[in-house]
Amino acid sequence: MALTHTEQFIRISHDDTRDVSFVSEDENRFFLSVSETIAAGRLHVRRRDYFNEVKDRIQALQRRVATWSKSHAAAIKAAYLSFHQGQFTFLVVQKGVPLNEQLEQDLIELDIQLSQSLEVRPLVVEVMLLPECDEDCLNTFIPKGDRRPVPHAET
Amino acid sequence: MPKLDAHAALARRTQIVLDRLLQTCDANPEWVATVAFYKAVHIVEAVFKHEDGSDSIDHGERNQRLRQDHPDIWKLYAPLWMASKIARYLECGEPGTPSHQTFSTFAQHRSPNQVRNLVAHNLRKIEQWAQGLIGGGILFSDPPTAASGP
Repeated sequence: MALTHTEQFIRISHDDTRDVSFVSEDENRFFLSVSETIAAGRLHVRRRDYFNEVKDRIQALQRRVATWSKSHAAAIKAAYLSFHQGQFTFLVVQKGVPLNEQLEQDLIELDIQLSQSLEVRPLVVEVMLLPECDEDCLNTFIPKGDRRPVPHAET
Repeated sequence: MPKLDAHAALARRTQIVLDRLLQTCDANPEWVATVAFYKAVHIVEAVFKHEDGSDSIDHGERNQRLRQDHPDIWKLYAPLWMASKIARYLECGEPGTPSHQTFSTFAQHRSPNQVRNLVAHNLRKIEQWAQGLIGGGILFSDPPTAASGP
């Protein structure tokens, strides 16, 4: 018999001709052939690995923008990492309304570094520098629910 | 999808509008920034067409290709992109509200002179880059006429 139950594993072998019976926590019962079970397992492993990799890249992105925010804290009113309409945006609100051109240049440099970072790729990240404005104003740009504050030294 | 020369023709037509708007830049810098950005879009799309015949699906794809393949051009293009987005999408609240007190007009953020510089420096450099790459008599601005001066 190819399907064996030991203390550690339920072994399902490709040459077993029987179906596999599943019983879920909510007592839902269903059957799959062995080949379907193996295919489903492979899909799950690929998806799990993919999500783990994406998670690692998001964490790398979070570290990079947090480091940048900290090093530019004196010029920043607030910074957010948002996921909106299918893409990440690093949104920086500068202190004061007149454009801080140096901050804009530095942000564009970060943008290029992120796009070339092997830790972050293939995540696509847009950057945006906004003038100081209040919450209502920001909400017209990216809704509050899609924004996550990036910690930085000053607020 | 537009051909390379169609992008160039649209860029030239956009320049005509841009020249008119520049005459009143103090009053409407947001529209100068927006129209300048869209001219840059046509120039960049012409370059991509020249490079591999492709068209960008959207702004995100175009931006990413510029960041990765032409970072020096992205440094010129990104301020146009950001200025036009703020000009079009950042609402500043009704007069008398707290929102209006912090940010009430685009010109408070990016002055008309800074917007003129986006056209005179950033857009011009992007245009020069594209003409250098494509060559072959493709123009993104009509040559100045005797009446328009140097």
